[in-house]
Amino acid sequence: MSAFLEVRDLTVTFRVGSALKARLQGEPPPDLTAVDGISFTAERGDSIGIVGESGCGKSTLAKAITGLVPVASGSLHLDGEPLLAKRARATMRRVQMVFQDPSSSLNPSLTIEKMLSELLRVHRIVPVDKVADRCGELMELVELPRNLLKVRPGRLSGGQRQRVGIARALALEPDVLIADEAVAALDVSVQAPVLNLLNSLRENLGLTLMFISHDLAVVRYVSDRVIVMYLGKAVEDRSTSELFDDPRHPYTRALMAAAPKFGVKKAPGESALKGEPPSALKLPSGCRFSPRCPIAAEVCQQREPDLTGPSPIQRAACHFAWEARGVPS
Amino acid sequence: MTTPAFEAVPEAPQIAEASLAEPGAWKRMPKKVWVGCGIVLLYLLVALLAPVIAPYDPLAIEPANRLASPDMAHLLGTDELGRDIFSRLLYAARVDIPIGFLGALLPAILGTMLGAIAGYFGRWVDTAIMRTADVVQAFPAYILVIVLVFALGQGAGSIILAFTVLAWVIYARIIRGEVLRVRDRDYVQAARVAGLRKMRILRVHVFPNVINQTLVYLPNDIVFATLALAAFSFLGLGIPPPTPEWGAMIAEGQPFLRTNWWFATVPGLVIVGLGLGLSLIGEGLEEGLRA
Amino acid sequence: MNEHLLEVADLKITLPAGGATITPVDGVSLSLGRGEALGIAGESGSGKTLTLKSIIGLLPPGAFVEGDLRFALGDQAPIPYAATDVHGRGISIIFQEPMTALNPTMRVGDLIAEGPRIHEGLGKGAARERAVELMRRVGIPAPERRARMWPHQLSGGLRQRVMIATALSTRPKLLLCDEPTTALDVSIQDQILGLLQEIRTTLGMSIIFVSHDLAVLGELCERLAIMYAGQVVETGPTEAVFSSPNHPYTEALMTSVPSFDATSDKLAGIEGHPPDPRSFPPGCRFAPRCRYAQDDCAEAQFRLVPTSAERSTGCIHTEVFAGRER
Repeated sequence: MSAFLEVRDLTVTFRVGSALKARLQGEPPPDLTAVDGISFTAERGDSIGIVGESGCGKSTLAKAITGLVPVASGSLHLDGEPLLAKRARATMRRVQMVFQDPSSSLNPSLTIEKMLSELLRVHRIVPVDKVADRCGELMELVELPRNLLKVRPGRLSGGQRQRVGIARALALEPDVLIADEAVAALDVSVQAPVLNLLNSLRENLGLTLMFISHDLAVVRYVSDRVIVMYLGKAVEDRSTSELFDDPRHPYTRALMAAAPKFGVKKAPGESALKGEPPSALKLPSGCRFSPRCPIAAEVCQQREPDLTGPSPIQRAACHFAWEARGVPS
Repeated sequence: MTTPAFEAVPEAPQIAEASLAEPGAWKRMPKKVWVGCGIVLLYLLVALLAPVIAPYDPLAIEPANRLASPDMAHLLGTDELGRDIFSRLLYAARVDIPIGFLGALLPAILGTMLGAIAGYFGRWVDTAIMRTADVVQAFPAYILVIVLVFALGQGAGSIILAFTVLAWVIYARIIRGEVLRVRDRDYVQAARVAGLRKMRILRVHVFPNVINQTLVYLPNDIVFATLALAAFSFLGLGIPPPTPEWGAMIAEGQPFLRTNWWFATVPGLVIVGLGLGLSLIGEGLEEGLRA
Repeated sequence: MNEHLLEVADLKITLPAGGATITPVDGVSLSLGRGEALGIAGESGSGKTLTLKSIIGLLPPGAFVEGDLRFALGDQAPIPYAATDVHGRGISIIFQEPMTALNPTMRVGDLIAEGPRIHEGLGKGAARERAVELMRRVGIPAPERRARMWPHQLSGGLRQRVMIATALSTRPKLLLCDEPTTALDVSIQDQILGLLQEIRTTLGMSIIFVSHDLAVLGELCERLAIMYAGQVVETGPTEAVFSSPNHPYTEALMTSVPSFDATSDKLAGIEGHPPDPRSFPPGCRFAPRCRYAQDDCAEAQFRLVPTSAERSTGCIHTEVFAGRER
C-alpha cells in the first residue's frame, strides 16, 4: 500500500534573468533550482516539521505541494491520487495553507464572515442555509468569539488574524494543512496559544500537518518528525526526538549550536557556522554544504552524498552521518 | 468592537490599509472632501435647475441690446449677439459637467479594467495592453481629437470618445502597478489555494483593494477633462455654436477683454471654481485613505 | 572617571494618535554603566523601541518627551544633552532592517565613510580607507571590492555588518541596537551576536539591545529591563532574572516560547494580547492577563520597587515567587 502523502524526487526551478541573453552568450538558460529532488512520505495525522534558513527552499516546497508553483519534475500523490500543478477544485481543497504574515494574509476589504462563507459556498461544503452556522463553528474551532465574524481584518490583532487564517484553511476541510512560518510574525506571548491550537487541531481533526519554520525550537514543539533543508536539498530526515538528541548532519548540528539559549553567554567573535550559504545559481561541487562544513573531507568535494540511513525516517545526507561515533564533530 | 486594532500603534510594523468599503472610512475623511463635495453639488444643482433659474433663453438673440454691461435685467450683461451671459453660463453647466464627468469616468472604467487584467494575468495579455498604452501615449493628443472630430463630426460624442481613447492609459498604468503589488499578497495566494476561479479572485480579492488609486485620481481627471473641453472649444474643436459652453464663451469674450472684461473672465472663474471643488475632493481622499 | 554613561529618569513619551494622545512610554528609568550591555525586552507596543529612539533623539514628529536624559560625553558624570550633541559623536544606532536603514543610492563604502568625513573632516581617500578598515573589522570578506557595491547587492547578513560598520565609524561610546538580528537567519544572527560581543569587549563600548527574544538578550547582556505596556516591570542581572523572575510577565515571556533544549508538553503562553496604548488598564497593566492576579492588582499604583541591591520589580505580589528557583 502506498503512503498517504507521497513526495517523490520533487524539483522546482525558477527562470532567473533573460533566457534570450543566455542563448546569445551560448549558455544554457539560467534556472534556479529552489527545491532539488526532495522525497518523503507521510501518513494521515503525521506532523512533519520542515526546517531551514532563508533560501533553503522550504517555502517553495510548501507552495509546490499546495499547487501554487509548478513542479519541474518528480511527483506528488495524496491518497494515491496525483497532485498536479493544475488540479481540480475538489483536489485543491485537500491541501490548504496557513500563511506567515498576518498583516497581508487576509483580504482587507472583506469581513471575516464574507471571506469564510465565500469558500463554503464555492466548494459547497455545507448547504447554503447552513453557511452562517458553519462560519460560527469555524470561529469556535480556532477559539475566537463569533462576533468577530462581522469585523474586517484591520480590527484584529496579529494573533487573531492568524487564527482567522487557520479558520480559512480549515473551512475547506483539508487533509493536509501546511503552516508556513505561521507564528514567526507574532509576538512571543501570543505564539504559544497558536501553536497549541495547531497541535490540538491536528489531533482532533486527524490532519496531516506540515509545519515550516526557521526555528528549531518551535518545530520541536509541534512536530513528530523533522526534515532539515539546505540549499534546496533535504540534509536530514529524522524523528524529532532522535534529531535533537543525536543530530547526524553537521549542518543540523550547526543550526542547533547557533540557536540562542537561555543563560548561555556569547563568547566574543564566536559563531557556530562561518560564512553565508553560496548562491543557488553557483552550487559548489560535491556536497553543497562542504565549503562551510567543519568536518569536510576530500570525498565531500567530489561526490554529493545521498539522503540515506537505516530507515525512511532515519536519513541524513552526509558521507559521515552513519559512521560509528567518534567522527569529528 | 471588542478588540482594538493594536497594530495601529506606532511601534507595530503593520500598515493599516484603509478601504472605502470599511464602515466609518468616510467619517475619517478630512473636511476638505466635504467642502469639495459641497462645491461640486452646487454645480450639479445649477446644471439640473438651469431652466428654472435662468432668466432668459440662452439662445435668444436680442440684436438691439448687444454687449450690454451688467445691470438688473442682465446680471452679467449680454454677448455680442445680445444673449444673456448669465443664462448662458447656467446652461453651459449642462454641457460641460456631463462631458467632463463622462470624459473622465469612461476612461477611468476602461483603464482600471484593462490595467487590472494586464497586471493580474501578465504574460502576453499584459504585453498587448501595455504596448497599446505606449502607442496611445506617444500619439499627439490634439491630432487625435482633430481626426476624430473630422471623422465623427463636432460634438459631445467625439469629445468623450477622444478622452476615452486617450486617458485610459494613465488609469491602466496606475492600476496595473497596484495589482502587481497586491497580486502576490498572501490573501490572493490563499484564494488560489482555495481553488477559486481567476476572474473571481480578480473581482473579489484583487480589485477592491486596488480601486482606491482610481478614486483618488478621478476628481483631478474630471478637472482635466473639463479644462480640455474648454480648450478644444476655444480652438473650435469642441461643442459647435450656438450651444453655450464655458470654453467657447471664453473664446467669444476674448476680443472684448478691454471693454467687457467680465464676458470672458466670469466663465473662466466658473471653471476654476469647479476645478477647486474637485481638487479638494481628490486631495482629501488621498489623505483620508492614506491615514 | 565616573562609572555612569547614561541615565534616563522618568521618561514619558506622548504621541498624537487620531485626535487623542497616547503615552506609549510611561515613566521609564534606566541607567547604564560604561562598557555595560543592557537588554530591553518587550513585545510590540511595549515602548521599547521608542525608549531607545528617544535616547538618540529619533522620535517621530509630534512626539513629546518628558523626563531627564543624561549622557556622559567625556569622563565626567552624565549631563543633560541635546540629540545633536551625540549624533555622530557619542551614540550610534543600528536597526532591524538594514535595507531600509541604508541609503540605496550610495555605495557601501561611501555610506560608511560619510560619518568620518563629516565629523572628523577626513579627506575622500582617507575616509575610503577608514571604510575598508571598518568593513574588515566587522568581518566583511573582500572589503575593497564590497566597498564599491550598492546595499542591494549584499545579503541581509552583510548589510547588517555594513550598518554596524557605519555605526562604528564615528567611534561611539554607546551603541543602540533595535532588534538588529530579528530579520536574520539563525546562523547569521549567531554570527552578528558574536561580532557585537567581540566589538564590545575590544572597544569597551556600551550597548543597549532591544529585542522581543529573551534568549538573544541573554547571550549579550549583563542586565535586563523587561518592558510591558510602556513601563519597565522588572530589572536585574540577566542570570538572576532568568533563574528566578520576579514579575509574572517575565516568567510568562520565558515559558511562552518553546525551549530549544527540552521537550515541553504544553506551552503556557499568555492569554489575550498586549493592551492598546489608548486604554491601558488601571493599576498593574499586566493584571488582566496575569495568572497570579488578585483583586488589589487593578488598584495599586504602579511602582518599580527594589527587591535587592541590583533587582527591582513592579509586581506587588512578589510573595508568589518566594522560594522559587527555575
